[in-house]
Amino acid sequence: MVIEAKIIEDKIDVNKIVKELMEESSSLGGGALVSFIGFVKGKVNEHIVKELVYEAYMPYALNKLKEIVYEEARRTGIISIKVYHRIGRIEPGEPTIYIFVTAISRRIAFDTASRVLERVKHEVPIFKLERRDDGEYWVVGDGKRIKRVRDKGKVM
Amino acid sequence: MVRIKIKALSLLKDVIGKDHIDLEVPFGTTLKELINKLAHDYKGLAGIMEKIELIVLVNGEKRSLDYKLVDGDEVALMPPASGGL
Repeated sequence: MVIEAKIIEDKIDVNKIVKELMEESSSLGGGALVSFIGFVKGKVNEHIVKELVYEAYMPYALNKLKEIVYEEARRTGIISIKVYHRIGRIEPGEPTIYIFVTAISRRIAFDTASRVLERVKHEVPIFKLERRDDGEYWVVGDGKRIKRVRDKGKVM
Repeated sequence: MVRIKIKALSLLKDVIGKDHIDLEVPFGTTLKELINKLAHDYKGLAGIMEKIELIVLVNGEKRSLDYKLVDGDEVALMPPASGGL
């Protein structure tokens, strides 16, 4: 079983990881690989997004990410799970999170990849600030946006 | 007195005005009493708590509001996570 969970700043080589995972998983009975890549939207609510700034509460964010991956990897039929979450400044069109799951069947791989994504989004203390052409917004929970007013040291 | 660290994340940084503060509180101070004190000292905090669910972790873990703070505790204030996409 191949398990990995990392919080990173740089992009990764997706093709290299996919190739390695397929090679490693096939000998363990794997026959399905699902990959998910989340990337920064260039437009939100009709406004241009300049960049997102991700911050993680370390080391607890990494600990929680690992916990999720280890828990999900224990499910029947899972061969490998790799999750990489980026932090720092990320521009539209650039990747923010990568999830790779290999399993003995496509259904298990799809279901697990989806569950891992939802758990990461809701359980890992990672936060984002959206910089747009109409100001800066803290993104809270499932997409709620709260405008930032930096010069007055308060939020709206 | 008990020395603790308050860690502010995301929009809580704007409310507190910095990403962390060091505090001394009386022995036996509970998490609830600390939150009340912060809401009193930082006027924006109460308003934020009306808008979002405030998540409070002690050394990375959820604790009950009755938890009594001990020397060296790190209390983190944050909104619900917004990771992923």
